[in-house]
Amino acid sequence: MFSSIHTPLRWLICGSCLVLMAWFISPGLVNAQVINDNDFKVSGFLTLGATRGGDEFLGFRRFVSQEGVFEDEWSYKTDSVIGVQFDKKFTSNWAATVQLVGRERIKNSFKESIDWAFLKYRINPNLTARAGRIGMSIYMLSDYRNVGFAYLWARPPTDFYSLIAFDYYDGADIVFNAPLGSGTFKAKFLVGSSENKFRFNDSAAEFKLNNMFGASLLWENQTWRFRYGFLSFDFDDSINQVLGTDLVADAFELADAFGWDGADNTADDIRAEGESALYHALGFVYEKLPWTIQGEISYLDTDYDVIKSNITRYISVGYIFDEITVYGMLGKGSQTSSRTKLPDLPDSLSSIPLAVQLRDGAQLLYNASYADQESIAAGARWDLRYDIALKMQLDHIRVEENGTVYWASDTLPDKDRAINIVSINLNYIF
Amino acid sequence: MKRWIPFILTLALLVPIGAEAAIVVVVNNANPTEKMSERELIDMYMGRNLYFANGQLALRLDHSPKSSVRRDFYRQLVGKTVAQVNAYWARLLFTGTAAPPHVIPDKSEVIEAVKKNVNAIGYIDEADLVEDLKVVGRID
Repeated sequence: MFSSIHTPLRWLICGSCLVLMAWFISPGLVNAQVINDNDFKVSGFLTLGATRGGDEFLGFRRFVSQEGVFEDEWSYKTDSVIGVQFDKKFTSNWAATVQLVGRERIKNSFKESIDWAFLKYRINPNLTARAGRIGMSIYMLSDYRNVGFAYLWARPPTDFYSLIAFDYYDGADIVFNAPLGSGTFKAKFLVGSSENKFRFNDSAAEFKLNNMFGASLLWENQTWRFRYGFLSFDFDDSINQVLGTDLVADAFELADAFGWDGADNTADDIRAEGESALYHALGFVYEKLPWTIQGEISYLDTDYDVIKSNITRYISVGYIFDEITVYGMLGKGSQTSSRTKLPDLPDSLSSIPLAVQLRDGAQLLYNASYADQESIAAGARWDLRYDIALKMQLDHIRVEENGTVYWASDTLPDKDRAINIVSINLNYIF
Repeated sequence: MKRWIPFILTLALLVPIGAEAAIVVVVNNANPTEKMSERELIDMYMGRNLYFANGQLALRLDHSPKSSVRRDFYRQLVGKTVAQVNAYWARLLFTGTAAPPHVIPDKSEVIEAVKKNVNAIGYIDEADLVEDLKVVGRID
């Protein structure tokens, strides 16, 4: 009977049970005995969200790995998340952390839910090394993008964050931290690989990033936080099967032999072989009562014709009235070069249905992976209690024709769209 | 009416004194630390440096999230509301960076905990200060 319940709902039920268990197990408040700091700690976070948005063609989603919410629908799955974290300190230098996260995914299983599982070793007070499954730490909301209570908005700004579908990687990192000026400087270096399942043609497609290495530099004081991160990676060649590009490329090569001049070039463009990319993200936070201002910009640099280089950015300004913070936000995500338009078929082939299908199918591949949108949002966060925050947010998003990679869609719209999203969510930490 | 004047005056004097009481940061008497700068206190309570100058890992103690001493402490030390500090800790905790200070709900228990733990550090209303505690910082 249990299996008939929607997976995310099942997760919420399991999660709620875990919360209750944690409530009883967790030492939480300690008394005045001699306190042993080598505790086992259980903590967690929960967001219950309701999201309404999308239109008849485009389904709104928080991550590209999610199902979309279409016109006149309310979804409780888009923004609802539950996470439980277990921290165990073995000695003052050795510790382990496991974090399980339940949320809507194309495929949900225990394995998919392990966001983190790493061992941490403090080499000295300035140097810490970690190994295992580690949160991606390149951008500002690095490894807390699921923790709604830790940020201002209903969800991480979508123009910037929804395309980043790799929350964690398997590998190692080393962090150096030291005081610098009025604040603290932190440098992190990481190596590893990452995989995640995306929704593609309504099925679970596994993407892998290999040979990842990256670094991030962070400086923060009481008022400012600056961060720069980069990540270099190779797309695993399995991306060809995922996107179906190897078949399309083969067909284009064949078409060239049948008299479509230049089709072999298209084949080369589409086929992914040893494609690599470099991702940069730069961000700042300014926090001084009553203002809270935050902005980020990213640049994905890739030579692969199907996944083009893009720039994403957002800026958010909030004003704090004690427990209530109101905010406005602007965001944009777009490619740095225009969408690839395939040439028309030569006359000799234009009456052959298979050739027409091939051309249109390849064009669809280019269209569906193209990003071009702008958004404006306004909202409020109300800190109801020291551990509970209620948020409401309205988004107005303008999507250029074919700039729809952020959205779930079966049929691509043939003109620009303007879509409103309404979100209400309750965020809790324990 | 006149006989009420001294009483009213006394009240008028008492109220501002109560509201402006300083917060003192205390450690165990056996702790060799003598003084901590504002910067050191910020680093310790915001989880940026969890060690005393002698290399000992500090056991940081905090008050109930609803207490006024906690509200004033963070407001004065880092200019943030309790909600902002909690959001900050949510970020640090769930990035595996550092855990927030231990919360002790009763303020007299904070004093007891500092007395019983050599590596403890806590903050209390100056008016609650007792012997056997070493004051290493003061926040006005």
